[in-house]
Amino acid sequence: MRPQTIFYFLVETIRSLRRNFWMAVATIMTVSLAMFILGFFAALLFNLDYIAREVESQIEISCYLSDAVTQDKVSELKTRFLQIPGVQRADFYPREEALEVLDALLGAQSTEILSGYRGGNNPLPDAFKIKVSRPDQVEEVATVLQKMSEVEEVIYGHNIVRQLVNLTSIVRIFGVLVMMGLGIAALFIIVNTIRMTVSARSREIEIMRYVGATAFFIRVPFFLEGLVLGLFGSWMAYRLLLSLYANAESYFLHEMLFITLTPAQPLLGTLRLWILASGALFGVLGSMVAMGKYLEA
Amino acid sequence: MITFNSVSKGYTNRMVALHSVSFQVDKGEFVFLVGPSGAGKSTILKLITGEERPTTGSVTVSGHLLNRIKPRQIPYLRRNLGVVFQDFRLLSQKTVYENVAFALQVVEAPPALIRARVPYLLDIVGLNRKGKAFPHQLSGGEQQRVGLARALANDPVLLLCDEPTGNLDPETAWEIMNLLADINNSGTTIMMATHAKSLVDRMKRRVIAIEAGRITRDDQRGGYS
Ligand SMILES: Nc1ncnc2c1ncn2[C@@H]1O[C@H](COP(=O)(O)OP(=O)(O)O)[C@@H](O)[C@H]1O
Ligand SMILES: [Mg+2]
Repeated sequence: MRPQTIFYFLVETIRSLRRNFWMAVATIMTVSLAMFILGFFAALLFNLDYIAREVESQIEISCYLSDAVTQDKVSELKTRFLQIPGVQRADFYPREEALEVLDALLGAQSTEILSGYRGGNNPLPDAFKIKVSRPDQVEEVATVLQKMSEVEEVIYGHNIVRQLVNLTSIVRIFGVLVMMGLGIAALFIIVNTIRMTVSARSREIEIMRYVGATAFFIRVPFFLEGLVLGLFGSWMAYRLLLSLYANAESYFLHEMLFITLTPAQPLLGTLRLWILASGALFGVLGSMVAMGKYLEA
Repeated sequence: MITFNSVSKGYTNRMVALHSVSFQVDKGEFVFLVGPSGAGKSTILKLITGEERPTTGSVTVSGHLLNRIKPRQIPYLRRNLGVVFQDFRLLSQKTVYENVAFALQVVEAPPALIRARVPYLLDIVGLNRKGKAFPHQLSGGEQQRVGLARALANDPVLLLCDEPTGNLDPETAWEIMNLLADINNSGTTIMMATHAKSLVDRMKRRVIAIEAGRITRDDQRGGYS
């Protein structure tokens, strides 16, 4: 291809974009909005998964023993706990240790108050901290534990995991619907914009065909126009997402003590690839639809 | 150069524009295609450019059988053809020079060739001083000269003119006719659809008369009727 052919393509593309300047701006905005929301939901879902996994890994069952259990039964009990399907670890948590933790939690002036409870007067029960290998086993294991005569009470963060899983799937369904709607809107407006260019230049296209320009030569400027609209829109969406994510990340880090977001990289690097690729695809697809009958020779 | 062999053309709306039309045009000929409006003149020209395909029969143009031609080959066929229209079809935002150069640009002619050829073409049609003018600054006759220069840009062997003088006064029309005669004398085959009786009678060239899609007459040195 001659250099001046490439130059011609670029000039024609810029001319079209300038001729329909506000239409181009509106198109880029729409594509950008669609891509931004697409990226937003992708990042949100990714983080919900991440948080769910974090929370899941922290979930443990506190299993308080009845006073009847004596110290010499502890290791036998541990073996029985470990035999329950799904149990990964079972750590004995003696009442003395629980008191120390309580002491530390209450602070300096508490040492005096608590001193009366030390030794044989400790009112806290002995306990086991039990971890399961998969979060969905928590309830099952808890039920089995509850039925054992040695066990007084079982406490675990039930519902948190289930709620997180539910939330994730709701967001997923909602996200897909919104993305589809916006995707169609973005495609529609690209098609419309390019259709305007095509009709503004129908005379030129007609003459090109009469003097023997190839279909490829005629189409390229329209493809480039679609590509520019799609890529530019999605690039803007990515920039917006990037700055928003950096803010959200530091907010979570400083204000929300227990939840952190996944680090911006590699998540946003992957997203950039997807967002730009979808933008380009939308642009080219849009110009193909818009050219319709001009696609034949 | 052109061979029509029992060509019929029906449009999708069941309108039959041509009924078993056969004729042959040799290289270097000047042929008038005459007949009333709706007779099928433009349809014949469109079959030659490959814009339309025959329903039955065969159309051959400079050795290519157009019934079978692949869409992607049509552009290369058209580089050997020039087309001139009644309504000139110039690009209003481009100058005279740019309108002619456009035909060369879009077939990726080298810039050096474009720079040399456009002034030459404008010279042929007598517009070498109007290169910088825009179409709306020109008279109808001058606009048609630009159209002619553009049609000749790729040095076609065959020039197709669809009522090129239809929008011009008799005086200007006659000037365009003389220009076409000159172009024909330099070797370009010309086929011209028209219903300008006086021009046809004055030129004394071959006339193919067509009515309601059928050839009614084919005279080597005929008049309009
Ligand atoms: N694209 C088309 N679709 C349907 N009918 C057409 C089309 N083009 C021409 N016709 C019909 O075919 C007939 C011949 O048309 P045309 O070749 O344009 O005649 P002419 O150029 O001699 O005036 C006319 O009746 C016209 O209405
Ligand atoms: Mg006609």
